[in-house]
Amino acid sequence: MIHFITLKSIKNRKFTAGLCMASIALSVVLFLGVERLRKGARDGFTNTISKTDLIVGARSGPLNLLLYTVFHMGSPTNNIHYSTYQKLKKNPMVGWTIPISLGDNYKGYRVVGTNEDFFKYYKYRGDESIKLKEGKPFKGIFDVVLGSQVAKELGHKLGDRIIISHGLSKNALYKHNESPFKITGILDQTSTPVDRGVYVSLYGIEAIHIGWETGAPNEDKLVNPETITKDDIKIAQITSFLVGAKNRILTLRLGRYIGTYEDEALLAIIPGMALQQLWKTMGYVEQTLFLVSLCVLVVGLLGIIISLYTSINERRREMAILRSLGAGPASILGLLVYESGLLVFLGSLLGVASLYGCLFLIGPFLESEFSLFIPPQLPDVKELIFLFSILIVGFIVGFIPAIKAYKNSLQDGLTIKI
Amino acid sequence: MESQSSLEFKKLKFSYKSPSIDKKPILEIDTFQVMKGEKVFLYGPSGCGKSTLLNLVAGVLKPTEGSIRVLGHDFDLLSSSKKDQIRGEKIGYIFQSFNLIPYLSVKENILLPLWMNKKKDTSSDNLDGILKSLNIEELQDSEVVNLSIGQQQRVAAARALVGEPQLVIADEPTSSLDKKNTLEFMELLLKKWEEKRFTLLFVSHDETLADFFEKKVSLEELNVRSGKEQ
Repeated sequence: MIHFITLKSIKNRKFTAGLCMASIALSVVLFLGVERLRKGARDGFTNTISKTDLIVGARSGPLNLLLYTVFHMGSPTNNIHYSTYQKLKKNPMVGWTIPISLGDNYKGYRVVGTNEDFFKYYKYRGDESIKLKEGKPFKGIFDVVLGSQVAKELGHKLGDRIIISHGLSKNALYKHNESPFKITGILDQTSTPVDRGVYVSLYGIEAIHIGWETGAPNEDKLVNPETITKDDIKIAQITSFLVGAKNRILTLRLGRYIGTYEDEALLAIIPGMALQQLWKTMGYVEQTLFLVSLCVLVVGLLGIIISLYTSINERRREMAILRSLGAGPASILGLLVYESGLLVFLGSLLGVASLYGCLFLIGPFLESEFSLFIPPQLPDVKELIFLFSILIVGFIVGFIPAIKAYKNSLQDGLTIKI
Repeated sequence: MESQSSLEFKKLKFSYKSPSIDKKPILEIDTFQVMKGEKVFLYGPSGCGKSTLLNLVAGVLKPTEGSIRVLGHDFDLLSSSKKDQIRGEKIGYIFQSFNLIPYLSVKENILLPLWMNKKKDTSSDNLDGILKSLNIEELQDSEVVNLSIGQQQRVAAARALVGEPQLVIADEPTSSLDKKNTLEFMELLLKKWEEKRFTLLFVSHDETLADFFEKKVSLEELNVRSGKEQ
């Protein structure tokens, strides 16, 4: 009965009720959205690289090193000598390595130079290895393996020839017209940045740059793809490399050894620890957003209180009618408390629906641009507790106008003295 | 003899519990009785304790002194919630104006008391009968805002009567109506009274309506305290 009357009453004040519900909805979207982004980011980052003990690169910022090596974000400031890498590779503490060479670009996708160790040792999401959907890893100088997303978005198949440009921007000034590459493999989807990579051998990367030492093409020295062999190419530098220590316990020691390596200024980071730094920074942003969502919630609740409170006067007649029909002052109180709670409830539903709507719309964008995968799953326990709490608060807040109406009702009885 | 009366006051006194300097009662009635099935015309100007009396009869106020029996119940002794229940089940109330809840349809307004007091039967035959007898059959699904004041008052009467009440209190129901609507209202209400023989307590300052009633009571004379400062 109370529900029926309340529903009709809300319908009658569609505009104000709608505004109240919109504020609540906004607060819900903010709170739940931030929560999900937070989780998605953490899961996404953690899943991208596992079982790697160290990442080694030229001495720069640790977060930087992590981001450009693993997440294809940002650019390396400096390279390291290939000779250094080869020496460190032989260190008895080292179990396996994967060399990474960055700097090229294919239609906006990062070109990654590496070797067969990538396919052998790289792990993500726990214990998953890189698998090929079709074709084979590169063998020849100009063989290319595409990440699943690159192949899909650009519509490439095995055997296609592609042109790789120098530098990282999509609209590179110079294109390596002289060195066409052939696609020999396409990777399975990993839902990590690997999907957006274009993988070539280290020889391939170097071959592109022969004649480009100054940064611009030197006509005399350009490479003839038909005649060149691996012996002709000397790999001088790589950007960074991933390391799996022989034994987990050796990680710190190995890291310190590399960090204090005399022959070259190197930086060795433990991926997990670098991520912690990222989370700390993100943590401040998240806290701020959380406070913002609380503020919006407070505003929404205030809106409900104001809306109901100001309606009390014009509803005095309505209350007197209900009283004449047998409603007690407690029912009048209950009516307003219920209306407040119902507004919050409907606002929350609207918020949750909007959240899924947003995820549906922006999800693909987040995934392709930031490798941020936010699964549209049903609300978990923490989210349900939040929703339940604001519902309770909604009812409690309703007592403010309700008690006033209660007192009015006692005073007015059936005859209102205006 | 007691069970034959609908309404009975004995040494009734009422004063508001407000912090006023003199606690003189607003209402003081030595004795008053209305029998079952009677229709009473209670008249008097405003300021003579009319609202207080109606609130007491409806069980919304409690007398400061004395006893008041409504439909066989000791209203001076019962709890508020019990009185609310009795009011909902056995009493029909018609206000002077603004009787209807604006966001419910006409039909919903009329059926409201039945929904609120679940013991009643909500069959549509009953509804049709009431609508017909008050000349509002075609208004069933109309919106309240579209009704004229005359129509509104008749809908209010329908609502008061739909639950087959034993006592109907009409608080100046025609004071907002013109002559034609007043006569129509009186005709229809009294026809209903003839049919159902509920007790009718009709309050009004319009003394031209007195002719519709055999029993006429002046509130001014009834209330020992009337005319005095409140």
